[in-house]
Amino acid sequence: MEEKEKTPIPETSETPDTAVPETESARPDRSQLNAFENFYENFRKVPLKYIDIFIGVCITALVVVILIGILKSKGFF
Amino acid sequence: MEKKFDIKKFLSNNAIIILIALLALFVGFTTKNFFTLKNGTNLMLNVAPRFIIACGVSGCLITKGTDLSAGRQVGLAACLSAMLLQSVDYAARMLPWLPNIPWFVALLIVMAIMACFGAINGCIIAFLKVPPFIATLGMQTIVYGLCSVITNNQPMGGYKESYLLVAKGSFGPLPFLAIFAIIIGAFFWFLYNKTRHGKYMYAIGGNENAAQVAGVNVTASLIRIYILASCMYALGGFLVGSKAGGASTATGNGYELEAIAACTIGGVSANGGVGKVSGILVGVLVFEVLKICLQFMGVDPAYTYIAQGLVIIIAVALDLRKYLAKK
Amino acid sequence: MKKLASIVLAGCMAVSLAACGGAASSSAPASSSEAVSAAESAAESAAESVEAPQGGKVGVCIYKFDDAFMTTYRNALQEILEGKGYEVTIVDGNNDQAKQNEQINTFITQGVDALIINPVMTSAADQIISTVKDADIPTVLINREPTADQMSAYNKLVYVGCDAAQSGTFQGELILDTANKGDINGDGKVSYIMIQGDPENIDAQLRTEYSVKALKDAGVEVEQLDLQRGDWDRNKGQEIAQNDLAKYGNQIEVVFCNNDDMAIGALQAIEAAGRKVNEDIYLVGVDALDAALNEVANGKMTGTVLNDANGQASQAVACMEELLGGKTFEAGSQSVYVDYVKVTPENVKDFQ
Repeated sequence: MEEKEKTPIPETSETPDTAVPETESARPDRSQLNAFENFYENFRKVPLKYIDIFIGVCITALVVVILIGILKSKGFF
Repeated sequence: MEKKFDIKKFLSNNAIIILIALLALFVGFTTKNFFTLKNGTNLMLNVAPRFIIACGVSGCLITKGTDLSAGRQVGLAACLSAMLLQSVDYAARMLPWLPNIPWFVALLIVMAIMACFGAINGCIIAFLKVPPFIATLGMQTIVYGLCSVITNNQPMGGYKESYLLVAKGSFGPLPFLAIFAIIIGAFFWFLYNKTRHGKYMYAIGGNENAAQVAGVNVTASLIRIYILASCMYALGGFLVGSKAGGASTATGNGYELEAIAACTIGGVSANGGVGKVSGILVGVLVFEVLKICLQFMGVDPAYTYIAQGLVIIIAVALDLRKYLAKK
Repeated sequence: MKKLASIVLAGCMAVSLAACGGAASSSAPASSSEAVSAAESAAESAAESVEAPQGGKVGVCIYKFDDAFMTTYRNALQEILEGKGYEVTIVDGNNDQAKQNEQINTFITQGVDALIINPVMTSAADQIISTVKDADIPTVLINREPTADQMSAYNKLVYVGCDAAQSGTFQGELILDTANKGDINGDGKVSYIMIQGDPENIDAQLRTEYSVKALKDAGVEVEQLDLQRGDWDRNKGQEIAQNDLAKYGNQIEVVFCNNDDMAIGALQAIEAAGRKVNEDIYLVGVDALDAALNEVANGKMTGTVLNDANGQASQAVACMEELLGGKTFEAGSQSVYVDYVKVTPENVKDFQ
């Protein structure tokens, strides 16, 4: 029972301003952000590397799609 | 060491632009007639109205808002222009009692009408504090409904020669549409960089509360921004109607998505506070060059849609990365 | 600094587009591509006497790719054209006339030899016709017919399609061919609901009008219970039928749909309401889509009308080749019609 009560607590205190005291530009309260900002804030915890990989994958996909489109129209498929 | 870092960062920040430039070069060297003046003119004609609409949306984006009603407002503006500028001896004239009016008078009337919608958007967002996403989403449906009612879902055509000439004519080598785009571009550059309104806009985008505390009248600024945006949609719709030679309730459907995507590619962050007119132009160019390239290569439209979607995703991801890397 | 570099990059792109073209052409820049295509077609018509030249570039503009009928049509067009050795590019107007005009401009710049265009809005056909006329490119308009007046502006222009009134008449005849001529409840009149395409489309208007006219001309009394706009869409057809069945119930004897997609949607609603087609209600559509042919064979649709996509595609290509061979069409005779075909449970096997 106590363990169950414990697990929600770390969730709510994930907002860094209670865990780590920040002096400059404190993380804005979630209620003040609009939909887009909330979305961006969610990624704050994701390391930059994963986003770079995601971008790399998307760019590769773009190049592949364009190549397939061109080749298909020329009749190679 | 430093030079290498610079190139890598440059590449990552402008990945999409470089990719599309490479694609354009590739297409240009493997097909006929790509590097021609006519193609350049077509590009300018395609870019001009979309650039104007994107400039309108940019103000909303910079202040951490959005305007999902842009497309439908463009449609309504195109329909209103159609109703005002049909040829007098057209059989199926919508407003038979209307005298022959010059196109710039009609343009001003349409702008005035659309500005009201912008004012409503601005008021709901600024006074009632409704999130712009929701407010403009609601406005989108309302505008579509109004357009259906006003036009009775009849597509309209039979325009006056002078109205059609706006899209077809040119001043020497420069099409009229390009002249409109240049004037609007210059106006927005001046507005964003040299006026107090511009400074207030960036301040609100950066941190609304701080701006308020610093004495900026946030409400007035926001309302001004949305009114200006609607005026741009009016002009955009007017030009799109002239380009198409007709207008219906389906006109403008989905234009906001491309406009917002173009802004994002060009550096106007959805997270607010930054954005330059030159970036908007680049963003619109990227989309239009992509479309022309793929049509020249004869690519199946399905792949074009997928490619456009991927470009949008990459643009948002790059913007997100820039934001996270900064903080 | 980075922004400056990207502006320079974009600027180079735009300048190179203009500069290379400007430097290469000696005559007036705007007519450079026209000069090329005019020279090409002049050489071709000089070399050939009667036969149209094989091989060449054709641009096809479709009003909307996810329209079920146009999908069959454009596949047929592609097959026929490629079989004859033409290089075909098909583009999607996405129901946006401005976008289609841009696509036409790009085709003209590319230097296609002929265009096959399915206009998004026939009310805006003037703009399309004047654009292709200025570029002097032979054009075949398909599936959506502008007025004879609009087409008279350009003589290398022809429309290939079906006489929509005929499809409506056939729909009416399908009902007349049934045992009780549509009057199931024996009250002396045929009560029907009409599910329309999009009302500004001439096909929708004529099918709506002539299907009922066929009944009236045969002396049958009719009563329209409802007329709703279904936009050629299956889901809308289903919703409209659902609402009307709830509202009018057994009063409805015939469901007229301007196309098969909406009819199939309506069929779902009819079955959900516990009615049986051909027993207590009649259902007709137009297009003879595969799904509809299936239902006609199963007895779940009273009949449909074949919108002969293959026939129209062949005719469109034939007309295009005539235009390329130098034929011109005078005002008043610029419409070429292909017949519809009635599809009943008896002959449905022929089409599957």
